[in-house]
Amino acid sequence: MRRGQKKMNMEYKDDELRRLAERFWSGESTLEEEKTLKELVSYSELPEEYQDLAAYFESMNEMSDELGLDSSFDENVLEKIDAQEQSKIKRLPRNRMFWAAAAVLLLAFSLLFYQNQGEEQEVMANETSQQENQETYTEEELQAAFDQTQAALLLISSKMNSAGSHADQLNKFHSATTRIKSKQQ
Amino acid sequence: MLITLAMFLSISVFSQDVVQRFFQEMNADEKVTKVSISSKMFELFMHIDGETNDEKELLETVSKLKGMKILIKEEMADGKRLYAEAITRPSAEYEVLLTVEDNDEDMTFFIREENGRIAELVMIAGGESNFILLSLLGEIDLNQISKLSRSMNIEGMENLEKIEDR
Repeated sequence: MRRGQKKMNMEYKDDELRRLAERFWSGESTLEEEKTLKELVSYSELPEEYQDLAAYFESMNEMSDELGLDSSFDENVLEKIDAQEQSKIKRLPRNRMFWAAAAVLLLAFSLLFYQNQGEEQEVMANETSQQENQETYTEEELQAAFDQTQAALLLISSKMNSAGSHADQLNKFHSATTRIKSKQQ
Repeated sequence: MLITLAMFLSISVFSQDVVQRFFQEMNADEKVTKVSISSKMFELFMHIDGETNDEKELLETVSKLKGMKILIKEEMADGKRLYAEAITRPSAEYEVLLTVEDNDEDMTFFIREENGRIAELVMIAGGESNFILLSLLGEIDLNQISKLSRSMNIEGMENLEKIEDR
């Protein structure tokens, strides 16, 4: 029973050592986990693959002793890093708030301007409509306007047809040229 | 997204019909004959009964129109120079339909399409001593318009005499 328990403890330590070592090398371990890992690698029956890690911790301890750095050094550094990260996080929303406010203002201004333009156009359209409704035309005026429209449409029509006749002439010239060329050949 | 929206709004707000602007510029010229027929007038034309087939055909063409503006300048020094300036005015949305250049007179027809239909026809013509700018708005059927003068056997410029300042 005692032997079995020792074996179980050994298996647990191996598993824990592997897990913590992986987290340590991937830079994901917490201070607490690092502390546990340091204790585990100081274990007398340490597997060969963790000897480098043990040597690393030992050299780090020696350096800390030489520099006079105690365990509070890491905590102080980490506190400062946390503080810097928090201040960065605080600054970001301020920037976002500024751009959001600017966007809303620009949008509101644009929509207001656009709406005013729309209102002005609507007023103008209403005024024109009212003027038109108020205007009454005599039969003579209506006939005169119709005659002018007819004249203008006929003018457009005749010009279009005259352009068509130019095209016809070009077609005739082209076909005549083609005929002459074919006779020459 | 904001830039796109701002661009859309500025284009919508500030774009102006260049043909309309040319009409306004030339409006100050007292030697110019100006004719403007409103959509209301076109509505009233519907009360006119066509007696002959030609008249009925004309009324059918007119029934689809919404407005017309004509600007004519006669007995001027250099109509072709004004023509050359005027044909540069229509914006990119106006497409050249046809152009004719000869010794007597140059002319260009522009069309503006909306939803696959011709919504505006602009005719600009300039000779040695005359200039015409004509804009027709509405649903424009080119075939129907070209038939009008053929059926009435009219040569064109004689119609200018019928157009009076309004």
